[in-house]
Amino acid sequence: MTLLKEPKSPKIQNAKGMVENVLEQFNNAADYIDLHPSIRKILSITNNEIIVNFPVKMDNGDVEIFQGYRVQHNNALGPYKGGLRYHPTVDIDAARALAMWMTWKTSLAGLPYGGGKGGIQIDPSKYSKSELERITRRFTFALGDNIGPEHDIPAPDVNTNDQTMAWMADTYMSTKAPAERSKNQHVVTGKPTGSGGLEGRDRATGYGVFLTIKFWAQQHKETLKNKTFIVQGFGNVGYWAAHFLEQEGAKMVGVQDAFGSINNPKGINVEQLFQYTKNNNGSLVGYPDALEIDKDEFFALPCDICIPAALGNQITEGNAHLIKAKLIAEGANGPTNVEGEKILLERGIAIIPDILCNSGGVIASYFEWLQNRNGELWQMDEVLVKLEKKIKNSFDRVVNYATTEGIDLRKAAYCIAIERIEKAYIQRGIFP
Amino acid sequence: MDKKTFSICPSCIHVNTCILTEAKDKVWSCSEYDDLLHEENTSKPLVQIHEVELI
Repeated sequence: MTLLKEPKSPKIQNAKGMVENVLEQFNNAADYIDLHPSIRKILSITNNEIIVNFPVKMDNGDVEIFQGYRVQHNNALGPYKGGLRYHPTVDIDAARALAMWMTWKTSLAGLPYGGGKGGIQIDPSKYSKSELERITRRFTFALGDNIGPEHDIPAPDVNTNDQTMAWMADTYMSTKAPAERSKNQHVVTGKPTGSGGLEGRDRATGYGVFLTIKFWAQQHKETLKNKTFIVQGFGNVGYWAAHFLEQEGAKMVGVQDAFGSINNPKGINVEQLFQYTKNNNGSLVGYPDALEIDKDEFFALPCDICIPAALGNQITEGNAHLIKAKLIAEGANGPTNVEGEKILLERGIAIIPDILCNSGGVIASYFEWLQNRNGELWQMDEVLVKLEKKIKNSFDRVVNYATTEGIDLRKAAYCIAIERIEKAYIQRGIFP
Repeated sequence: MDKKTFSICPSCIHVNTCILTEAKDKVWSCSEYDDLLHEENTSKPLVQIHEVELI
């Protein structure tokens, strides 16, 4: 019986796009490892779903009521971990799937975490900064002990950032006795560096993407020197991945952002392009040392490595046959849909799955949590060294599993993640 | 709780010009999403919303 057919969760059948992909990937892996049916039942449903309604005074004195939520999927391996987003509409089924996805991601990365997701039903553009602060603080208060540094650890997501996390941490810590406040600083991650945040967090995800590509090259007895790559998305993940690849001698030959696509077979200088976009309202269009191309030409560009680092459902049955790269490194979440992946694998193109490739971010979150928990402040180089060690470990396990079982890297990654949780339940049993 | 399926595109300032996808009703995360919460101004709304009909 697959997850989609579970009578207890009929609404999951209506999930679309990325959500469908997550569920299908879980089902494939769970079927492959013959997941214990009792554990499958446990993992197919969330542990807790919390809804809070809370009042906040606006700048003009009016009181508005807001609704916030936190979905806690599973904590067999440790505290729930996942982002908080502020958005006008909420899809609780999607939140469940995203919380589940965090469970797999943290498990695969070898972290002592489970998965969670949450947010507030709000359009942040309609509120002033001081109103957003009061909303965030009251939401934190409303959640109370449903979050906690050893229970559920939120992090930034859409429309939340380090400032939001700083407000949350401050509010949560203020609810504790004075002598206990400092030891609760790790209630959230993604804090500013001056408030317990981690140095290097900004580049952690992109560095992780680079590392998985480097490890893949090493595994194939190749170097990255003079390898060509294209990157979709020149934001935080895409830029840093490109930055480190270029440092390693690889050459960026194509970039696409929200505004347009550019190509130069001789190479595009990453830093120069970045500076250009900073002076051009964030857009790469018009960059003088490259030609603008049509958006549909982008994924067909000749290159060795393709890095979708923007959004989901980009490589599909519509364009997978056009890909020239030998390797897809999924910097974004869900950039390759199931049909697209089938075509790529049939063509012998390797895919480093998102759950592994972009895990640098969540691993850095773990480091921030550890740093706070231990009362330490880690330097950037220390963070990057630890990150490399952790990702190498995950990468090697996935490759070894895939090789031994004769399966693709994505299925191997999900199998490892689910087996780790299954093992925990088998060893601990079910109380009482 | 509002149970409409949601996408982050309608609240992104690039929604009218973005070339990354036509399926702007199905985007859950995007590195190009413009997060304007870094604005320093404390007394007025951070951004003017572009009212867009969902595809």
